[in-house]
Amino acid sequence: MKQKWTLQNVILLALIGIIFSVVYWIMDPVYNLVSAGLAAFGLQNFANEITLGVWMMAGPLASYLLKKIGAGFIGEMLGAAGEMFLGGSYGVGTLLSGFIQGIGSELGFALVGYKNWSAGLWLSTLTGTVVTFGWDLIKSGYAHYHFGMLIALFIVRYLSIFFFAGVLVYLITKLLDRSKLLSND
Amino acid sequence: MMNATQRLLLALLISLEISLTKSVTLNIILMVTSLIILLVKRQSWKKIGFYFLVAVIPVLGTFWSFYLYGQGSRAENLHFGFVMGSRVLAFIFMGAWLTIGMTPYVLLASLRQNLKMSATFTYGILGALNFMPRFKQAFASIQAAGMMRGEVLRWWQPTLYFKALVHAIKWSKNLAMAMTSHGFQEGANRSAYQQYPWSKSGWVTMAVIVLLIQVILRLSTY
Repeated sequence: MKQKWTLQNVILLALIGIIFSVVYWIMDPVYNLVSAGLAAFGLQNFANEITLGVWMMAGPLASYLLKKIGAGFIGEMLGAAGEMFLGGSYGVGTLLSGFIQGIGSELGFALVGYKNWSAGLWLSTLTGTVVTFGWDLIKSGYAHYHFGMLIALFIVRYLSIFFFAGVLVYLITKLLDRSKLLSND
Repeated sequence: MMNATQRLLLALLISLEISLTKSVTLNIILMVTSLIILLVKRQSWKKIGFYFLVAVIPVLGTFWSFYLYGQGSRAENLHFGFVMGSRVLAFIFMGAWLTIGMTPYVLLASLRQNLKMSATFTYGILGALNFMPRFKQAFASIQAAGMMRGEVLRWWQPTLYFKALVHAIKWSKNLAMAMTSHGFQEGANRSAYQQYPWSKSGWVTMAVIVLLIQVILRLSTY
């Protein structure tokens, strides 16, 4: 693993950020529709849990592709910043969420010492869930919910992150590995 | 006046503060202030209307969810619902305040000069931003190519991202080569045509605003 960021690395990272800022931005109205549907039952917060995984794809993907310390965090931040500039539903809040989500994903790769990137990817889904959930406990007043509700929210969130930021990212990286596009520097 | 980095710092600071406090008054004051700035800066009604439109569902949904499913008395839940709903409003309008009149170029240049972000990152990201419109074309052609094989590519399918990333990898190589051949040197010293120095009045403005927020938090009862 070379730690120096070359110009090409940075551009690729930024392009990943751009791709996902568009995805995130497109997801805003989707999220709002899902939450409007669930809000009728007062379960609007499940909309957040179900879709959260999508907003966490940039980080692990960037880490896995670039294999560098900080790639996941910066990739997620760029995606969030792009979403804000495009006019997303959460304005400045997006930057803060991107910051927390970036740390969550990055932690998974850090815990395996930036060595085993596949293990890091799977671990990042767990650390991402724990960190973002912890943040929501403080910020979104999840502490106001009943314990059973909290467990349900946590499980749904983990499944979402596991699927989008885990399985889907894994499938994408497998296709890229097979294409051998990343092997040459 | 605050420069771009100072504005970003202030916005982050305030959003952190309102994330950790529960004052409806403060949220509404922040939202109204941002709205007034937007109006003073003569933003079009269409744009302002767009922000309101974007806000409606998340605000109502958040309020409703906490009002119905909160753990506490009716009054507490009502208060908390208002806190969360008004917070979304404050976020959206502060985001609008932050992004009007500040292009990514200015922000990146300011971050480089003020926070010593490396030129490789500044110009790499700037270069990449130019690909924004080309991604649109790329997505259209990826989907068309899929259609020709009778495949409809949807956003949850890995193939779509894979193909977009193949473009991204190719472009990143080409752009890096192009920038290098035009004389961009990693780690070299650069001069800047447009200067974005830390401004003293900006720090004062920030301090006053942060202080005012503490006062509002102290005084407000709801």
